[in-house]
Amino acid sequence: MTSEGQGIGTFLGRMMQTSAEESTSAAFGSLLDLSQPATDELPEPFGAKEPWLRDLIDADEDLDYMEKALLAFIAEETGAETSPT
Amino acid sequence: MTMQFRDLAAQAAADGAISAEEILSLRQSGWADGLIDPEEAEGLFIANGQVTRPSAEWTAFFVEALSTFVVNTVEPHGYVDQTMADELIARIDHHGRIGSLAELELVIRVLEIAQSVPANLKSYALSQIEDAVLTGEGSTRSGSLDPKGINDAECDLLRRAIFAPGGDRPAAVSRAEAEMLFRLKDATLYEVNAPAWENLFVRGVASYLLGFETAEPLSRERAAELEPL
Repeated sequence: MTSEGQGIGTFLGRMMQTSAEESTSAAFGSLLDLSQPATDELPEPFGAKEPWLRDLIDADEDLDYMEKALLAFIAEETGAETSPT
Repeated sequence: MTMQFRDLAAQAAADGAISAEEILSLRQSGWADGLIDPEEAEGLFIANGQVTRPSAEWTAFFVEALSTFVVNTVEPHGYVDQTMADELIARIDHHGRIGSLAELELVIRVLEIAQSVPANLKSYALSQIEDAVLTGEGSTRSGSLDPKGINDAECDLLRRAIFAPGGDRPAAVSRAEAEMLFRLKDATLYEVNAPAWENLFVRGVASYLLGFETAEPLSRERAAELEPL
């Protein structure tokens, strides 16, 4: 069982490492791979809302500066690492 | 009292304005008890429609008197019932848009002071605020609206509406509100925005995602049961 911080850390780490030029789909890709039930690792309520966030961020296929600030804030609030270990 | 409120519309129609002195007089005599009846409320809406040069004093009086009427007329006080919500929307909506900034201020004030409002009023308020932030012009209590970008006044309007007790999710951010923040962000990404906008977007969406919230208010029905006690 992955701890709450690790779950969010993995999610955010992938997001934060994605360059603005890359599609955010890549950042979420492995996370949402059905063979890896990664969303189960995310704590409620964030885990259930993660597809919602992905869809919004993915809408323009770009991770803009506001979205980066949002992810950094969530990482700070949850105490999660923003880079994978 | 009623005559004085009725006189407002005629006064506004005569010269397009209601002076600060006239409002002060109304506050001291006609509105001394802080209550108005439905007929007087109607008179205020009619007068507002006639005012072509709304002063800060007029907008403040209009908002204060009518928000008190909308929120505290029907028992239990503090809970806006469906009939009142429908009547308010019908009175201020003009072809899908709020007719004046005073009426926009009124809707936000109702959300701020009510314990709970019906879903359709929350939804209407949210769509009108989004429209006002993106396209509105003119002065509000928060400052002037600007159709370009999101300025400090517009951030203040959004903050007041989103975190209002009567908002979509009391003192927290609902999914609909978070989606509105995303739409506003996308629409203004390359505009010159107030520094406060990034902070509001980040904290607002994070509030929804992380589930920051306070206790839900009592339902209108439960509040009605408890009020006589």
